[in-house]
Amino acid sequence: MTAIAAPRRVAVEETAAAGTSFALQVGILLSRLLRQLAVAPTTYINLMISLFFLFVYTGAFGASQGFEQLIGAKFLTFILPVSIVNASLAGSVAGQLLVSDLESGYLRRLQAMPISRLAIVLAPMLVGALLVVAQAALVLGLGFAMGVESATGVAGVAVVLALSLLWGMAFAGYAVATGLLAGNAATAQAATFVFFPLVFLAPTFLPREQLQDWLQAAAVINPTTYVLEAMRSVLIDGWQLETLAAGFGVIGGLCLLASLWAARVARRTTARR
Amino acid sequence: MPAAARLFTEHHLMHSQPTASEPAIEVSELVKRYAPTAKPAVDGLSFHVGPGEIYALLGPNGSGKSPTIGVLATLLAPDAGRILVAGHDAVTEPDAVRRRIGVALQETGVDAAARGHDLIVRHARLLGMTRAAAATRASQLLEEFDLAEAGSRRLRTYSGGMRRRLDLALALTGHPRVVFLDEPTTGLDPISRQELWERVRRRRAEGVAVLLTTQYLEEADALADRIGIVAAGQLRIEGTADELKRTVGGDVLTIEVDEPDGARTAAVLAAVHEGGGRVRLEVRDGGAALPRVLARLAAAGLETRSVSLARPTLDDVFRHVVGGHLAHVQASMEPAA
Ligand SMILES: Nc1ncnc2c1ncn2[C@@H]1O[C@H](COP(=O)(O)OP(=O)(O)O)[C@@H](O)[C@H]1O
Ligand SMILES: [Mg+2]
Repeated sequence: MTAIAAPRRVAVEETAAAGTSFALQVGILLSRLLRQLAVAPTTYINLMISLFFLFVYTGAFGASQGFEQLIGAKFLTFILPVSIVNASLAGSVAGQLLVSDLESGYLRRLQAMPISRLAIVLAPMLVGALLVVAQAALVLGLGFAMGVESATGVAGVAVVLALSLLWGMAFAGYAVATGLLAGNAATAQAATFVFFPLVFLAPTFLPREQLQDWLQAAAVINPTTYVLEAMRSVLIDGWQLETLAAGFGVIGGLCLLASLWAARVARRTTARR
Repeated sequence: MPAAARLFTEHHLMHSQPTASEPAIEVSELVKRYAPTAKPAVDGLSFHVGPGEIYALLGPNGSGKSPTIGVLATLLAPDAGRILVAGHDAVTEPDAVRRRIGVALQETGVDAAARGHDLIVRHARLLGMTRAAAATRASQLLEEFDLAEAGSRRLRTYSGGMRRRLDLALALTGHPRVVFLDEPTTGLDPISRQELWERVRRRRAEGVAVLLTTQYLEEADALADRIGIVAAGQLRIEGTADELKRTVGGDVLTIEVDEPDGARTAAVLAAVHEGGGRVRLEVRDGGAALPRVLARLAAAGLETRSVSLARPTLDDVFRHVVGGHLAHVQASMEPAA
């Protein structure tokens, strides 16, 4: 090895791409997905449905004093958590975004680059989380503007947002796992229709005690029930630790399970086989 | 040697990269199977590509070209074999390989809603370029690939040829030392194909190693420095186009006779009957053989309509080593470029 040869080796070495930090990788991928979301109609459709719950059901039942006596609260306050839970379904975009990249082949292109496999999956999950918080906050803000009051003040609002984020990320994890397993957008879309029983086989329009027996039985095994009840408790009744513990316990556990499942499936999808 | 100089040298020795003499791609005994019980898609492939060399894997559909590219581009895990790309092991150092390669897969993977310019910029930034450097690189590549105007348009408005060019541009974004192109010209019209060849040759001049796959004989013939013919996941023969043609031996005489079914002619000449009144005969020296062939046909009472003499083509090579046909570029349809 002579001293003269060294500089030539340096010149060759320099042609390797430097790569970027993990944070920047996530940032670059994130900004791309956010731009995609901004022009995707589904982003707005879900928000519309959430607002539909708020406006239309309040329009229908909100003026009935008999109904408010039955549920023991202002109808608007009672229905707001339903709207927020629905808004949190937006977390499923994480799955949709990943599947569309899987289908287009863009995912493979990324896999041939010096990028962390985790960043590739984390970016859409973060987009899902951002969308959940943004939509839940928007619905919450609208609710307050329309006259919702929180029995536990600002802290209660934070609790509602935290519950919506957990619910949203549980759904995001589910959407990512089923979407990647299915490998195509149509099946992934079909899998998210599980939201229908989740939102409606629950104390959605009446407290649990007032439901018919079969619906009560279904509500008991539906995690959404505990999320709705926890949100209502802080908005309507004040701090009820047992209800809160049930809400956070159920949805926290579910979120953990869904995330683990998503991580497992994503790991298999992005691994070399 | 002064201490500082020695340190400098040692440091770079540790990160030693292939010099001009070391191969840019070195594959030995590569095996890839998709299922434990299935026949391997790649079955003991060995070859190497040097810097500034264009190597073509030539084979029909299903011969294992794409799985080979997949393994080399760190997308698939091999079942056996040793793969060095730009001096790094594709299995144990995938990221080191990924920093040095550019890949254009058989199916272009881009989101249709993206704009060409944005796509290259993002690609460049992920490879570590600054925002400004990425923008410059994107403009440069769009210019070179005749996409300057299309750069601001969404990909769904691009033609197949434009997508292919963008794909190649993306593969070259990070100034890679090694480029993988999986059937880069399949589906392109003859002019686009030749323009793409020209751009690939430019990379060779810059010292880039190019591994491409193709099912077009003309493409391998015109573009590749060396060709490996693959079938059923195995390398059947390897060499320059001329070397390969020489293995077939002689020239090819194609004779049309005035016999509705050329079977008798074929029998008389001990030649290959191509159907109809056409017979194909391989000889060492076409010029010397011609009079004798005509004499023998005349003696058998067979009337000759036409005779054509051709040097062996890669198709002949392919026929010899694999026993099948490959796709041809319809060069005759090509307008004068
Ligand atoms: N994802 C896959 N799963 C299972 N088998 C595959 C897969 N991809 C390719 N193969 C098999 O590998 C072989 C060669 O792959 P192919 O991509 O068709 O080669 P080529 O690129 O030369 O056309 C084929 O027999 C094909 O069936
Ligand atoms: Mg292929």
